Amino acid sequence: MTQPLRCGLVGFGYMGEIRKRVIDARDDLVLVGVAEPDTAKHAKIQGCEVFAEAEALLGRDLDLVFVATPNHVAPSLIIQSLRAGRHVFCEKPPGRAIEDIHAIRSAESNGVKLMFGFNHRYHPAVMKAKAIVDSGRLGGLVNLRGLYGKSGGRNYPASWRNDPGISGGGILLDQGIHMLDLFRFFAGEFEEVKCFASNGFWKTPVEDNAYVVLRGEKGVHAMLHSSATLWRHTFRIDITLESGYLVVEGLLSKSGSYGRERLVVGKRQFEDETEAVGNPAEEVTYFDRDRSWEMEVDAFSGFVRDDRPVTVSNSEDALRVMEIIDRAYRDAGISAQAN
Amino acid sequence: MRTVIDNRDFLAEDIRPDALLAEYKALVERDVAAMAPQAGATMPLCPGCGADSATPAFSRYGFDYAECSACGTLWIVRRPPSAAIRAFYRTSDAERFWQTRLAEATADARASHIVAPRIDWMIDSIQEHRPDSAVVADVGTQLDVFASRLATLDRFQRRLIVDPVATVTASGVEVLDQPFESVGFDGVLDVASLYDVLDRTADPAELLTAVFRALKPGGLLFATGILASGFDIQTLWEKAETVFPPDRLNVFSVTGLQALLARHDFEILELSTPGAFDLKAVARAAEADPTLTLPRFVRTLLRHRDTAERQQFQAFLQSTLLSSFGRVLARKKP
Repeated sequence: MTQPLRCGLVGFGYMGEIRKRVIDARDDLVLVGVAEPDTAKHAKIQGCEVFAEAEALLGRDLDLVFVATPNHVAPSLIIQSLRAGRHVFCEKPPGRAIEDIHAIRSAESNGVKLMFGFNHRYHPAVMKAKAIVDSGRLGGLVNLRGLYGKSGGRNYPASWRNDPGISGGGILLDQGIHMLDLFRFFAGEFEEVKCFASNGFWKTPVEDNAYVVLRGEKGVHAMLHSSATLWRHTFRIDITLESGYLVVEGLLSKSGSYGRERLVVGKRQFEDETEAVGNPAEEVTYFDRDRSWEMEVDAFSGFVRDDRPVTVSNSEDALRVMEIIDRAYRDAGISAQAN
Repeated sequence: MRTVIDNRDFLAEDIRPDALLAEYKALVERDVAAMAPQAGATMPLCPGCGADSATPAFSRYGFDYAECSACGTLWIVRRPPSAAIRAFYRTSDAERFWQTRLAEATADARASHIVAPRIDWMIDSIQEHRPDSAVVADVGTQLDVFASRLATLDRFQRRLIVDPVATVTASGVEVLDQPFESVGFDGVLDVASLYDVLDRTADPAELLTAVFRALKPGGLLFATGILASGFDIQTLWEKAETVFPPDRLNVFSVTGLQALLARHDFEILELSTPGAFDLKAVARAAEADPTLTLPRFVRTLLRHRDTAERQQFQAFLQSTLLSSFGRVLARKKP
């Protein structure tokens, strides 16, 4: 086997812990060090060097950099790493605003790989749904409807995610971005974007609810409700096809709070409206293992090791989804939240 | 691993009409009785988990079933000879009746209720796990309607049916009329299917070894069968309508099936029991035999619960892998 790729990880929050676990489990990657400014977390970081400053880590001999930081520092870390010739894997979102992803893309150069953590594409129910859509057996896409939300918590308003200077946006940028990425995954590009947004419940400086309607270039429409006021954590995407429908509901996660991940497949059964019963037979698949984190790092490692172009969750994908969010915010009368 | 629940509802009568089924089973009983005295191989170890501890279960048509003490698999210890089994499927009156009367009378229902979901399952799973699959082989199918659908799947470069007693007439598939174990495939298949075949295979280990060798690394195996751990079999036991030789030489439990595949280096991607008939089978048995003693709970379920509630119970059986119809998708480990 060739030498393992030497990795650095910046940020040891929720995502950083997951990334470390995945990297540590692989033979083809070796974690040189973790940079985390919160020294109280350092005791939890085992098996590699620990740094309080990202600069110290980035001064080491690294092949790959994993960026798992809040949004306001991610772009500069990506750009710095790319310019140093390091391959970069960064969590979503790719910064606070569309200008960030433009700047990141301008720092990309041939041979250096950049991938973003849109891991929902690798969730098992989503992958199976994608396979059914691509097989064409239920016909072409008609529309998509997504609901993705959480309840927030007692300390929700104080979270850095609701500080526009750090996050750049609210629930749509933080969580809704995954659903918008999935809309593109299933339906391609969207020409038109409409949005209402509100911070009416939590009174945070950024939105706690966003209602986005999209019109796709192939006539496919999509609707997203992204919410921080769903008292029951919910992930659900309804995919209507010409000859049937799919429902992805629930999401395998560490907490399990989004419910058991499942895919419902139903076939359109009736042509005569007078006899329509609206309750067709369904097949429901329950999934019990989330390998999304492992699979996306596996994909990234493969792109780097084989020197192939990044074809999944690349900077183009990040740009397109940030364009949707930028247009949604503008349509809702929200702009430049980071300023 | 994943599990599928299927709420498609249809009548057992659609695919197993009572009158024809009774006639068929009478012929089977007569034809199988002719095999019984012959000396065949014995299988002392559980064909599922390989354990050597079993207890007598019941007899059917002159053959004794044993129950594995470890995994609950049922199997016939003293098997009929392989040649006699092949002869049964090739020339027996029972088989001729099945092919000419029963299969023909139920062809449409089987096409829509069995074959179409099976093909959908294959297409979706192949698209998800091995989209570039080029060569598919079905082992031992006895349904012409399935062969006809398989023949239309032009996403595959080669479509094979391997069955020593093949009766399919569909064009568009290559038919090899020999035992799969003797074909000698080595790393050529992307996909293999064993629909209701492990149940009636004299030596499941030998067959799975051959399938493993025939598949490319990462190749997919689709299989279905009747499960001893299912509700109707556990409830009816020796009176279970689906358990009789030679179709059910082996009736694996869920645990036994998992062990069998693990012993042959297959990784299970999906294991489901999407059966629709467990409760209906018990109801039919009770109706046919008023002296049948059922647990009080089951009697209550049948007498005092409506159709919707029974369907919910059936869905519960599926969700807990307790229906007696099982399907499994497995991948050859590299």
